[in-house]
Amino acid sequence: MLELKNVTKAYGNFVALKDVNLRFESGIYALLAPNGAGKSTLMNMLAMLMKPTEGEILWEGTSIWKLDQRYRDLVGFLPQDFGYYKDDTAEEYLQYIGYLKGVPSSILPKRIEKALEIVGLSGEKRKMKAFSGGMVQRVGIAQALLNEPRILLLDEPTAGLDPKERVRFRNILSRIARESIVIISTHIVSDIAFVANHIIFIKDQQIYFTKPTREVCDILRDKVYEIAIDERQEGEYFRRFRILERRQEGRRVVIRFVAEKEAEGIGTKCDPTVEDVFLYVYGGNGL
Amino acid sequence: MRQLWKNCCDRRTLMIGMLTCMAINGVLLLGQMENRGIISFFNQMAGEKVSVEEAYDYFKDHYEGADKQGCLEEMKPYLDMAPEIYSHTSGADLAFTYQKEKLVTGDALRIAQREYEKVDQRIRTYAAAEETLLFVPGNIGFYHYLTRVILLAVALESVVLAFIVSLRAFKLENSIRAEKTAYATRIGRRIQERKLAVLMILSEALFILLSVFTFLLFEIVYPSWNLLGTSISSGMVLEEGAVCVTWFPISLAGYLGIFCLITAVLVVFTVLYAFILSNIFTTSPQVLLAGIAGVIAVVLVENLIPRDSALLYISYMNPVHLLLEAGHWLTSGGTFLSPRYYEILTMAGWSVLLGVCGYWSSRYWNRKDVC
Repeated sequence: MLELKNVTKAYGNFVALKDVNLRFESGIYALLAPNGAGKSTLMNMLAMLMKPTEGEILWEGTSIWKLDQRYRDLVGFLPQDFGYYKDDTAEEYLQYIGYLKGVPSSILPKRIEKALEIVGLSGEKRKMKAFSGGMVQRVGIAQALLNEPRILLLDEPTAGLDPKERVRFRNILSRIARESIVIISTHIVSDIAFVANHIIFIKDQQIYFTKPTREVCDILRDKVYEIAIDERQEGEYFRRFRILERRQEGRRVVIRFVAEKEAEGIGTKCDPTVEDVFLYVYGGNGL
Repeated sequence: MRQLWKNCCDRRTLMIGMLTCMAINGVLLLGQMENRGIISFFNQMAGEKVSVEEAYDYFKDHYEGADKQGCLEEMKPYLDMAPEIYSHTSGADLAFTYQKEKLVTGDALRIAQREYEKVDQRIRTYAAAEETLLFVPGNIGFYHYLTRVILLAVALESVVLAFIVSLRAFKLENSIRAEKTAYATRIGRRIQERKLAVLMILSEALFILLSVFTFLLFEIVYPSWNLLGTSISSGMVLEEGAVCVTWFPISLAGYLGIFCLITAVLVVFTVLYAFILSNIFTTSPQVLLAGIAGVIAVVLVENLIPRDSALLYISYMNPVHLLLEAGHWLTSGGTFLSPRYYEILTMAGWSVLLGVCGYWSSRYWNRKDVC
């Protein structure tokens, strides 16, 4: 079990994360928040790239800073803005990362082969400077898997990927997240809505709530409506309700909104989605 | 491990650096071509005693310069002086020249005079032992080139190359934004220390390569293999026309060996310096600026010490001053002074200082946030 107890991270007077208490066991956890909320700070602390200003991070009850190398051996990390050696092939790059991870040279070739197979880059011999963004990101995932991690940290893994690559990523994730703790930080709801077991919302540098994915939508159960209206009525609805989404259909506007009180007769009730919850939480006043 | 070496050895940096240094040394070397004939001839005469008249005749017959007459007129007084050079030289004369050149007074002057008294004792010893063979009868420019310029060039180039190669390697992960990937790993978090070992070996290899190229090229252009056994303190004249006197009798070959040892130590210091700065500062430009600032600070401190203070010689005990004295190591002359044990004390003291700073900077780096 990975546990964060009262973790705070401050840079001078600026508090990036405040009083975080979380527990992770096997499964896929999604850290959901817009940019600048503190997701990457949390991921960097879990990857031991930063130390908390207050609080502690524990693995099986022991501080990860005490465990040091033993903890690092358990972690696979794909950072945001993943950098690489352009003149290396994928295999050469993974050999170096494998060396840095302390993977024995006797088993490293097999691990590389397996990792490349998982991400669909087997047999790719070109240098990484010739790769597309999606291919580079897949190498990033492959390097995170080299040490068969118990804790897999993926920071904005789908940023910059096209829809096809994002679907491929979701498929890879389903395959690799069996007995590990997988923590994905993202602001793209669709990437994790179907694969994550738990969703953690971060707001104002604090944990807003943590729920199993199937329970997240219960927050807005029976409160989400859709209606097609005339453009001239738009202002009134914006004043009355929390608007989640707006789309133009010819001369009419379809709006999706949250009504705290019963709004039958005003619109059609809809099943809320995780994206609705995300927009509701970050669009203005919370629950 | 192979990949670590590969990452430290950036081919482009190494190629450009080495080729530039070799080109500079080639240009310097080829600037003395008029001396080729005379040096080659004396190489064949090595070990034989020649009179002043014979030396003058040989010079007349074998000097290849355009202005032969002008050079002969310049050389004649030195050739006349050579056999008796130590009889006409005293520590007091050298101290006077030194004082005029460096403008030292008070305690600084007294210390210089004391050191030159020891130099004087060695002059008497060498004179008594008849260590007054004329070294290499090239023109004054050639003496200056051989005994100062090329040694200083090789030392400076080795140090600069070591710093650039080390800076690039230590900051490689940051420059390609791979630091988070690398530093989150078991070995990656300690990779700077592994790189330190690799870069010390690599930098020494570059220095050896550069030295071998330079001195091999020198030997091809100015065949002088037989002259390697010639004593350094043998009437060799330098920029001010004064002799240079070593702390102990040593041949040219021996002196080149010591030159290589001291330069090798300076190369190690340079890599350590880059290591320390890389642990403290995040980006390559920051490390580069800090490196330059450090050198400037040391030079400034030297220049701020009053010229009458004994502290002046303490302030000279730094690697920058030591480096800039390449070619003057372990020797004293009219315009330069090597106080006793200066080189050894400087290297020993800074080994400890840089070692301690390296240790603490490494601890600091291992504890700090890396992003």
